[in-house]
Amino acid sequence: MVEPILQAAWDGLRLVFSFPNILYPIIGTLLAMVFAFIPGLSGFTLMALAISFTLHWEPLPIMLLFGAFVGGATFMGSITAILFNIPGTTPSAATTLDGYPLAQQGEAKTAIGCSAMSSALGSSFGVLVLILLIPVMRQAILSFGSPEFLMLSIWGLATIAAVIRGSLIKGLAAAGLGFLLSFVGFDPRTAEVRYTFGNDFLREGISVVPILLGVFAIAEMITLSVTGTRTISGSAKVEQLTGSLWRGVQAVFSNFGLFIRSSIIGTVIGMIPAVGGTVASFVAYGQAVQTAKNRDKFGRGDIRGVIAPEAAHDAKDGASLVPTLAFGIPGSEGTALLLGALSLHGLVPGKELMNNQLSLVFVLIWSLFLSNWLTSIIGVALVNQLTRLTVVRTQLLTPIIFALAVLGAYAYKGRIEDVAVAALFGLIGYFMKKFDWSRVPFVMALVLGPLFESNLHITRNLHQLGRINFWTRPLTVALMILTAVTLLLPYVQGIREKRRQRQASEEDSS
Amino acid sequence: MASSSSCLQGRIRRVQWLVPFPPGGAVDIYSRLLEPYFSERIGADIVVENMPGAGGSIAATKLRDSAPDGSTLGILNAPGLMAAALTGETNTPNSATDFTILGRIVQQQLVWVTASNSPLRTMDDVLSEAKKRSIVFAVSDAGSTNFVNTVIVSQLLGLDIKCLAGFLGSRETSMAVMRGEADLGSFTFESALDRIESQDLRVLLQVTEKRIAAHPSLDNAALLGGDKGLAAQRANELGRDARQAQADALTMVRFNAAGLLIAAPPKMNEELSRCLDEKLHESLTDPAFQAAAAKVNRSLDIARGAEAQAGIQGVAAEMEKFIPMIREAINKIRK
Amino acid sequence: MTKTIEKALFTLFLFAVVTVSLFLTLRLGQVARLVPLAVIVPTLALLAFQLLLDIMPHLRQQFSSLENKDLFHVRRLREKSLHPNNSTETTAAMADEEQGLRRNEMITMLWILLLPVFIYLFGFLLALPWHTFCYLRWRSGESWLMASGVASGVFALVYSVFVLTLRMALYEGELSRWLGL
Repeated sequence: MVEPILQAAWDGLRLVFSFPNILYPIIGTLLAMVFAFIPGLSGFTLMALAISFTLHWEPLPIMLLFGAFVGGATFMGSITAILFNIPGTTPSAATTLDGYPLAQQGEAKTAIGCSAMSSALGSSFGVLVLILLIPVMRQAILSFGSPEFLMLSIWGLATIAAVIRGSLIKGLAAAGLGFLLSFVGFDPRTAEVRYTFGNDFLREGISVVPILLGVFAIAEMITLSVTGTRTISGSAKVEQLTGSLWRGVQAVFSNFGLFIRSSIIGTVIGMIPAVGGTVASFVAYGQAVQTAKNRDKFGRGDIRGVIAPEAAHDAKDGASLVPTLAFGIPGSEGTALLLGALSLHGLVPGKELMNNQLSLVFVLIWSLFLSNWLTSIIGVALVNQLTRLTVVRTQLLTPIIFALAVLGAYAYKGRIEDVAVAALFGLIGYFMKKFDWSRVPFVMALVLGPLFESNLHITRNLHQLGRINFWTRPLTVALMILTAVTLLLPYVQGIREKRRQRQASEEDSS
Repeated sequence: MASSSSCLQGRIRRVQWLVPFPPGGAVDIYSRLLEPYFSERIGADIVVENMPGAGGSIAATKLRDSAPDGSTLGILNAPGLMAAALTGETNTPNSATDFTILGRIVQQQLVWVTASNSPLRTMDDVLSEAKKRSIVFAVSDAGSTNFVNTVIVSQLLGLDIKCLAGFLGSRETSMAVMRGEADLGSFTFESALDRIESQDLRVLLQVTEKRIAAHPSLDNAALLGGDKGLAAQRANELGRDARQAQADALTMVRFNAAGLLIAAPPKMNEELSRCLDEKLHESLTDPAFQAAAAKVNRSLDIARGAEAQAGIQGVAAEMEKFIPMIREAINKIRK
Repeated sequence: MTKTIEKALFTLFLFAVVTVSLFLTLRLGQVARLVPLAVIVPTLALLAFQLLLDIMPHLRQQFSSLENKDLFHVRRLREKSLHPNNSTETTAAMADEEQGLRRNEMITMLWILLLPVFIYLFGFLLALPWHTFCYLRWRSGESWLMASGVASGVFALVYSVFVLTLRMALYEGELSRWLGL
């Protein structure tokens, strides 16, 4: 079983790195980077466009190009998140939480270096898991059902408590509000319309993208404008910036345990169909805060707050190919389009593709791997030019970012109402920031809400029908234990701290 | 690109093409395949815009409310819209009366499937198992086409079912069947074909009067309609009116076969709609387009606008007799 | 308006939104309202409690461990002193600064709200460069040259990328459509 896989891997590698094949992933990566950097566009937009253009291409260049698209867009979205607090892709909203404060402290280079390394290594992790899972891909996906999805979302929600800064009451209430927003639209089970006031726009639900653009990008620009902050970094000259690329890169290795945990989270969540990178990034961020000994700097420029979401976000890329290749079920929006491109060329994911065209599958995998590293390398090469943007006067930047943010909100689904949503949540986000309402739990609950609700109903139903037994499902039990640990961890930390203080004072008195 | 024979006469250079499903999906692929052929004939760029949600009614609403000048066209999921209306969704456009129908691409043919490793290997097994317990049927939500199909067909067969609802889409629903969480699921034959061929799913029932295709997976699958179909057989076994059962089965077949239509907003100028209808038909019957569709295993059941419209109008009226049954099933789920 | 009142008003706004949701939820079927109710009821309780904390300073002091998210006193044990509570007393200089900030706030929010209105009336291609120009000229105080240059750059970016390359149908604007622009 191993030999055919190794042979196909080698054949795929030779195909990717031969000329002129190598040009496809390079061009694909560059295009994906440009699209991801401009707010309002994304790798997803590029892929949708490319489907029409590549209609008459052969399967090999399709795999080379689309593999690069899937891998190339993720890192660049983090650059705008770090520099301007604009999530270039929705998962990079988690990177804004500590990446942008680092930029505000003149440490944009550190954040970008860290993001580049974390992304590249995280995606390698995801690709490695993908390759290792090839022989057991189908069984792996089939072992995840509604009870597992439910427990995963509960665990994600449990980490919310860890990420709340300041007032616990406000943080939990903000999470409740995020949850409430996720209910707008159709009930997943009964198809009843909820909180729509008879409005067609609200029937589809409020999209996450305009909310994120408002709560992060627009709210931040309002703050800069109101406070009269001269530049994002606070420095007027590039020479005054204190960041260091290599410090950022080294931070990944000095927090390697965190990196591995976050990559595992990204990989596991990436394999769950239709969940996407946003959940992975935020859950990884939550666990980073939860497990940190000293968590006071999170949300204020803690480099670990960049490592975790970046690793998870990129590890998800490789992992999201698992359900896609095994069953033709997209693991993310990007892989949904990849499926479309494959279908248009008669390539049907499943046993047929995995058994008879495995080398073509490896072309896709290696192209994804290559593009992830290419984006990190190019991003690092451009870091000096990019960080210059943090010394541009905010008075110049603000209206441009307003414009791009509302355009981004519109471009997502082509609905003019999303512009109003982004503006409204820009104001709400500003006041949340001003009055110390934590935005992170709000966003986490918004993103996890649909996953939680639909799987709760299905799991409840399955239990009532006697179709499942939680205690015979090892993954469910493992996630239950993980959730219990997550909830009890602060209490245990409190007891440990009390004990330590008591011992220290006893030693002092003796 | 504009020519004197093109429908839009160079007035409109870009046509917005609304697709009620996400990009990359089965319906979207038809649009992508058709785009170059139709675009050339009407002398305008076609820009595909995906607007998934609510069984296709979000895209349909936008299409209905657009100007009837040829700048906006789109695909209608006729069974999806009818299902939404039957389940009481008041804002849903009526596919029969709210649009200018230009043609039909494909008719959908539904099958009931089970997991390959399920002990239920035929419909006889299902019917005898149903005497011992309720059969669990996976559906996406209570407003969906497959929910409507499931409720009506199971009633025709005298099957006591429990619906397991809440899945995001048909692929996720099929995963629930493959995992054994649900006994059965209902999908279009084409969309489930890859899983059938990879032996993850087995076809038990064809919701049609005739065999869907000369495909080995259908060798042991029962037929719902026809005088020897399962609906008529079960009616006889249960002491019901077999002819009525047959008629009801035919209604379901025609409901699904209403298919994917290409439409424009209502009250379109007759000359323009005739021209678009003509160009669409030319594109759909273009051998190059048909070869491209065959290459990606997409079947075609082409019809002109008038024929497609007549098909929906008849079946929408017939489906109304099922409203009480559907509403009762929905109320059970909502309680 | 003091910061205390502003805080309380914001909390009240959120409280009102959730209260309305509660009434809407009660009209739903049993299954559809299950999870929303489980979320709304505790959220409403939390918001009510927060409102009380916002308007009653002595209550805030009593529950400071909740305010500082220090339920298990980990931070209090680690640090020698707690964060100082927000005081409602301000010096005259601070009051002036706050008033200045508040004025800035109102103006910035008006500019934000103006953008979707511009877009609704004139569409993206006109509204975005126009808004950029006006903001740079009259809000940021930039020169005519700078404002025009940046606005032209915004137009060029939007047009070349979204209209020419992506062939995206950007919203045209009601007034533009009516005037046939």
